[in-house]
Amino acid sequence: MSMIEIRNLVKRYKDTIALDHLNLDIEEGEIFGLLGPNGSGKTTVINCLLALLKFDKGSIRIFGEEIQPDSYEIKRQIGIVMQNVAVFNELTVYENVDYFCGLYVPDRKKRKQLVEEAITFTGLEGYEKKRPKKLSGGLLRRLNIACGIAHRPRLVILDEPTVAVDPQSRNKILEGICQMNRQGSTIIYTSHYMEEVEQICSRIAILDKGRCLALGTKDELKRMIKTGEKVRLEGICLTPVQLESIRRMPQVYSVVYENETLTLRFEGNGSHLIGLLHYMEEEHLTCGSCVSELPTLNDVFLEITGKELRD
Amino acid sequence: MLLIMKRQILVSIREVSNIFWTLFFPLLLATLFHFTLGAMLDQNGMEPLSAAYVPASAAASDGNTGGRKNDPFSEYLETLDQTWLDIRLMTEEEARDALKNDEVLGIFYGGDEKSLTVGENTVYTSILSQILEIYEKNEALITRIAREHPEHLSDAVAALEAYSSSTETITFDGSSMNNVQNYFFALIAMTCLYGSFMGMYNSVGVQANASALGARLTAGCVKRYKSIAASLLSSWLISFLEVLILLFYMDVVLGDIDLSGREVRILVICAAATLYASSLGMLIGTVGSWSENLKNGIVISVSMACSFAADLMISGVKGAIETYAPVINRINPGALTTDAFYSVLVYNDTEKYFRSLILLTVFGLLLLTAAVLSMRRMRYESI
Repeated sequence: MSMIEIRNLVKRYKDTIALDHLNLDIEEGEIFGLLGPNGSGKTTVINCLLALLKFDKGSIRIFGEEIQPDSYEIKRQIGIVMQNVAVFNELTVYENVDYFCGLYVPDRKKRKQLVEEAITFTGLEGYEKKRPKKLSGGLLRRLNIACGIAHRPRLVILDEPTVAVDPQSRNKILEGICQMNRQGSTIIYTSHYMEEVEQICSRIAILDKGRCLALGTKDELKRMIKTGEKVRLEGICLTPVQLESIRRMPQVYSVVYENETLTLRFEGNGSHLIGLLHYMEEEHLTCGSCVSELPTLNDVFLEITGKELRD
Repeated sequence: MLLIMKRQILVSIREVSNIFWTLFFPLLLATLFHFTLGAMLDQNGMEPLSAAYVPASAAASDGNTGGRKNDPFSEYLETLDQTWLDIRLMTEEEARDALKNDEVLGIFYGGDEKSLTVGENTVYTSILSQILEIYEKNEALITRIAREHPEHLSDAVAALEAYSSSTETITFDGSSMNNVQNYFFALIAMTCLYGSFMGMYNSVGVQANASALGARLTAGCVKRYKSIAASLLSSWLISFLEVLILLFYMDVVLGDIDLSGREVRILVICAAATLYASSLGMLIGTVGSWSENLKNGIVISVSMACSFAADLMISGVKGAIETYAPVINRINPGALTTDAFYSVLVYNDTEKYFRSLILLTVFGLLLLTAAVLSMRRMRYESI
């Protein structure tokens, strides 16, 4: 049995369908990524999971039980990091973490330990007495996370926790998420940053217009699409015959040659760069630079939906 | 629940703008009222208003002041309360010197063309002006009656004397009513009404569709009734404490009101008024998914309108409402609070006090019920 089972979930906002018969299974111990552009339904899924939103059809089971607004025992095991920073500007960093932890852990002594651990975990040491207004965007996001995870929940839901965060803080946050997962928490991570999802998630669901377009590990997702390796050679002079020979190489499905720049797209997995370099050696061809790129989740999204992930 | 309450109280106290408007602003107004109106409250503690009276005979060049006999205006001035008015009979020259040396605030001239000369326009000289105005109106009235209905002249004079004696309201415990007290009572009522700000902020803070914090709290494991109860109790407690601080300041520090022996009844009415205001604020906080700024604007408008109707800005508004639309005074928490204060501190009118107390409590509970019914929702159409 999965930790979370979402079946045929439908949510409408008047005439707009936010979730269109969505089915998802999330297993215990994984970092599950919900990837999709803005407005794809990621936050709506989260709000339905937390029983904050009414939905029109379907069911959600968490830990084997149907989630209801008064499922307090289920909610006790969930940590939430909202997309919008939800902390008290009038309380210090320590007081904020202590307050949110206190909603789950009444024992003061135990709570003190958990709060200190959460502050250390998110790298907020030295900022305990500062008010949120005095923190940078990155530190504020880390505080938001500390408030959500201090009680050591079994399931952590992070809704775009790295929006408007500097790279240093982003790396710290991503490292922390992986560490939480290693410590036993199951993670649901939503983002429209494909690099992040690709970096940390064990399974990914690609959402668009409230539908799950693809689901699997990142390798499984990449295998679903035609696009494979992309090779770009700059400063190369080709005759029409040589160009035709390249076009006829195995698994090449797209060749563009403009202004002495050759861009090749290959089908399937693996690298085709070596074969191309062999051909160039045989033909005594040289180039100024050579770049090989394997497909990204953005390529997956592009091929499935026909649009860029960040459109 | 205690943890949530403790946090709500801490947040409210640390929110500078919140605490300024709901506590320091009323304290500031109380201080301002004390220095501008306070002296008028305590007639015994105030210097009598000095004015010179120059009868018609003394206005002539011979300097003879004559007497007050057969001079109705002089007799009228003598009938006025000598504790707050000091009329001195002078020649014109003496009167001018006295006015020049600030020994008197103004000079009344007798004779057929009565007039008043003042040094500068102040609230005190306007009182002297009103004295002359009232006399001239009464004189014109009597003259007209004497001309048109001489048979009713004695009745008219008797009626005027009776009216004159009724203008000073004496309470059961002997204290005099003073219009200036309106402002002080309305200020306390306004402070009670400011409890609606606390109620609004706290209710917004526990609703998922109103704030990120509300969503965070609703998604957590705190039982709904606990978060609502903590929200109400903390806003009620804070606003009640703020009113207590104001009462202490006005009673003990400034001395503009005297609560001695009547503290319990005053505290009970303040508790009811702050309950009404907190519930009103909570209800406004639950209405629609409007922005917090818009809800804040609604709370400001409602509390200021209620304060205006309770005589905070202009004296006499509440009286006019009582004449033309008394039902408004029965639902306006500001008017109910000032009524209750009058009942306790001025009239000793138990019936009116309990009427105000019951109305405040009943409306407070009704609004609270509506707010709780609206807030107990946990699933929303949209967030």
